[in-house]
Amino acid sequence: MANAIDPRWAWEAYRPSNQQPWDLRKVGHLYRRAAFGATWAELQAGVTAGPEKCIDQLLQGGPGLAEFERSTLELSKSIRRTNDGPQGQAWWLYRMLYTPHPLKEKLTLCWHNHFATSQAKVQNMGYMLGQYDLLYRHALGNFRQLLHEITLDPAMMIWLDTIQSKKGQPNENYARELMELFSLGIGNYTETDIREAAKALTGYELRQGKAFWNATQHDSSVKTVFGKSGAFTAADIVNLCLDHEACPKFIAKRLFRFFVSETIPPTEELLAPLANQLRQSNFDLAKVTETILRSNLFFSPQAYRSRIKSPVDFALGIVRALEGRIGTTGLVEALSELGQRVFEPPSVKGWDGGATWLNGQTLLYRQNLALALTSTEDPRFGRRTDPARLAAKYRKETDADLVDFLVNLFLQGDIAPESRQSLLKYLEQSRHTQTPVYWTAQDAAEHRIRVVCHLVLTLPEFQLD
Amino acid sequence: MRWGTFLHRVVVLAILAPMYAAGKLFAADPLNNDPLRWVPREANLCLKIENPRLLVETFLHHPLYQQLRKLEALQEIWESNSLRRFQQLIAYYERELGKPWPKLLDDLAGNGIVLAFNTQNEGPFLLVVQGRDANVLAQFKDLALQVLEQEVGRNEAKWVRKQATHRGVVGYQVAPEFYLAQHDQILLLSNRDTVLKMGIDLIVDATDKQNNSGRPSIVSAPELAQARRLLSEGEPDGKPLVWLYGNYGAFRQSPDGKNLFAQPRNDVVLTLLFGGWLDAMGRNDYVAAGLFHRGDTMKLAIRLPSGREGLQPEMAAFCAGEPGSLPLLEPKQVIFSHSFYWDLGALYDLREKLMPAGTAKDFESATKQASRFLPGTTLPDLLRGAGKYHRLVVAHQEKCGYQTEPKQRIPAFAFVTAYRDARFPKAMDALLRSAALLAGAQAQLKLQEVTYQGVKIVGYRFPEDKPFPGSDPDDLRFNFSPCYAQVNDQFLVCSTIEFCQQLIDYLKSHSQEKAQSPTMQMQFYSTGLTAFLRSQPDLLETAAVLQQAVPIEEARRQVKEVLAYLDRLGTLKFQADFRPKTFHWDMIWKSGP
Repeated sequence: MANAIDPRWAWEAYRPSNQQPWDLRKVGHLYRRAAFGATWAELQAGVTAGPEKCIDQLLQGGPGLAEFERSTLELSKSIRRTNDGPQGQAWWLYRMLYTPHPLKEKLTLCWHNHFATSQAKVQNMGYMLGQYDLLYRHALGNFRQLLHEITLDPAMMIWLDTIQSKKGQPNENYARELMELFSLGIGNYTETDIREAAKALTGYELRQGKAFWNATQHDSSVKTVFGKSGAFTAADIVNLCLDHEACPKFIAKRLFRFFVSETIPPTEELLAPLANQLRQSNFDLAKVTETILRSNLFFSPQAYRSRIKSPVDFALGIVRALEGRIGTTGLVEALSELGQRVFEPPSVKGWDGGATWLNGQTLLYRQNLALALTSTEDPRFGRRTDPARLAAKYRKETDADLVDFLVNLFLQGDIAPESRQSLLKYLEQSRHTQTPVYWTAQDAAEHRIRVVCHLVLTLPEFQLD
Repeated sequence: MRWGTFLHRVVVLAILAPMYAAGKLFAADPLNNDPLRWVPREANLCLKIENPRLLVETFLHHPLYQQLRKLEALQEIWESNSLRRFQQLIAYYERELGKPWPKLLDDLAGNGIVLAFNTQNEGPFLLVVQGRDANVLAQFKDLALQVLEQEVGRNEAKWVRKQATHRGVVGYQVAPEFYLAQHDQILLLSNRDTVLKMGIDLIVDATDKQNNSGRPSIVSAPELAQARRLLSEGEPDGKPLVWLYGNYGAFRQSPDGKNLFAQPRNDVVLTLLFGGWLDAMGRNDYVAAGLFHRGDTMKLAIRLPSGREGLQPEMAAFCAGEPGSLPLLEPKQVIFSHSFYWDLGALYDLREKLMPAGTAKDFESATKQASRFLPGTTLPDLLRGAGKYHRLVVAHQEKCGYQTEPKQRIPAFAFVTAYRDARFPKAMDALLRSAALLAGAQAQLKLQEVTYQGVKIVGYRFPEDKPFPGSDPDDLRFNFSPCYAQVNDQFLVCSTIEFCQQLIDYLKSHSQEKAQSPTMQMQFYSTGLTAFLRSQPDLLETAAVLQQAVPIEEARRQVKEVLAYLDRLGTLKFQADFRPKTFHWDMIWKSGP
């Protein structure tokens, strides 16, 4: 089937048609992939705005971004000082939840997974937040600059041992991952290239929290990398990687897997237009992101609900849809149980993602988290994410209205008719279930709404992105 | 006498006589309304609330609880669904039983509540609630059963209530491990039907002398009464809000118990930290604890019926005689203060009795090794020269001793020890100077000798004009200027020179203070803690924003309010005291700024 995808068609801008109308499903898909889910108002506004305006808005971000960035930067200062890892995670989740520019935040998460660096080894939240700043700054910027700066980023220098790489004792870790995971991919370099590049990466130390080039520890001999020779330094090696023909293809593939699909084979033909755009624009990430988000393939049935939601997408999607303003400290532990701790990816390869997000245990934890977020009885979230309040806000008074509302809000209608019937049946039966005598009629009615909302969130369809 | 009048009197007498007889029966026994009577002798852990209403009202009427209710940061808790449902449940009982909750609590549990366990037999428990109004209790039981069943049904548990009668008393099984029975003013709950039946036996035995089961009650245990008396001794009104009796006699006889209480024990750390306490515990079978309230003070008291008399001789390392400890050091903005008895010389000299043979030998050879590095003395001499009374103090300091402010403040701290041999400070001086020489070379510490109030302070500072050779991006080193000094018979080691000066003033002005009885005192001070927290409010503000997603201005307001509240929490003190015949361990919370 993948062979049947025409690259030209794939990356042409999507135009609504009778077969592929612009509707709630498309808006939901866009907000899941390019943001962290949508509220009911955002879904409605997206349908009205049409694809162009809706994507424009995501690319540009909403109003109040500068103030949001200033205030969260202020918050991060004490976390840097106290080196508080869990609070650092809560801080990033807070930004993801409340940012006026969710696409930029989402891409920051993408680059965090690409340049996977963990506080578990770095042990310095100041450096980790510094790396976050770098990834965020270039998330929709320039990959060339990003790769240069990440090479001498303090957290990365500790993570991949650049600080230990000295003349005569080069450490190959960064050189290897630079080629294998950050810019080229396996098959586009040799072991000699790595050894030679490692020599060029010697002599970089950390002083007063910043990269410092110690010429006495640097191997200034002539090295040969990708067939080119010279007294290369770190910057030269990064440029050699960026100028390698495999680099734009590798980055295009990374973005394709992140935004479009983890299952459609990313053939060279299919990705060629994206790689060319990257090469011609000197690695402009905003442009290639725009191409992907506006494309036919992005909105195609092949891409639609073809991925498993990551824990972050799962949890934040629920919170955003329920319009809850919750603290994120409580989410940190919950996401850890689900298998995703931001700032602590499991290895240099990042999170495996895809089907590995789900197993018997994480599925149970997902259900528990959904219950915690909808029951209003969990002290971490309290009544801040209350489906009953949301139903009242949008005046969903009948059982049918309520089920349709919740199914459209969370699943954009993607539910089997029999599942819808089961939800309605539950609501009908629950009218006759005896509630504690001390409950008011409103307590009982609100309880039904919360339970049915939890049931919607436990449907298999909700696990799909 | 008219016939009618006579008949009237007979009827009245017929009604009153049984009541009088019953009254006599109960009046003859001062424990007649004591729920402990219905606890089987097999229980070895009993917690009793004498007056549940008083206990609840003590907390609800406490000014700090009232203020806590008003804290903006906690409003969400008070408005939570769980708490609201609890209030609805109380309101439901009030409505159905026609009484406000305080009166209801008196009727239902006015004579006390006892929770008893047998910790040996996989932990069966028995809860005894003894009220004052049998009718109200019966109605309450019916309502509670109804509520329980609805909860079970709501959670879709497939369980049907079962019912059985034991000696004329109806018992219910409302969940797999939940049994309940009510008789007159008494409500019994347990996780075992056998234990529930034991409780019923004791209740029925009280009136049915013919078919008496002969089952003994916990009240027949002499240790229980002794424990209760022990608790009341020295307490102004002698009445605890809650008290506990624990009998660990069986544990003491078990292999684990013998290991724990044997001397010397294998776990040397346990001996060093709690040797004296364990010795007191190991000489009797029970412990008593009680919660007392008086004015602004709440006290949790733990008592053992064995004290200084009878201590094993080697316990001299932990409590040789009066006084037990020196007064707590309380400089300005103190956060934590600790004073304790620990005779290091005795610890060394009695090592063979305190430690297993191998450990004692290792200790001895280690001291010999260490002595090689001590200029002009040996470690045993140094330990013997040190005193028995030690104090540790932590306090907030407004000003940093450097021009460069550390990015994160660390409170100042000091260790103050009384010495008995004049050679001790000289030996310590040589030792600390050598250590500083080694450490100072790496950290570029600069020696600074200051004379303050006639006392020489030997201190070290980090240079501010040179880059630090190690990694310290947050400038944490500027929290420290390690130093030492001696004031009279006290030797001080402090984290900063400024704090040392403060302590010199303090020690000089408090030189007349008398030593005190407890062998260990430890106190936390809320005012010092809040002063420290106020010096870096952004830590709390960030936590508030991330926990509640409130705007920063609101977070600031909340933090200010919470700190003002913390200021009023007062002090929390822990103390251990070996009295001649008893051992006392207290936790004392004194509220107020």
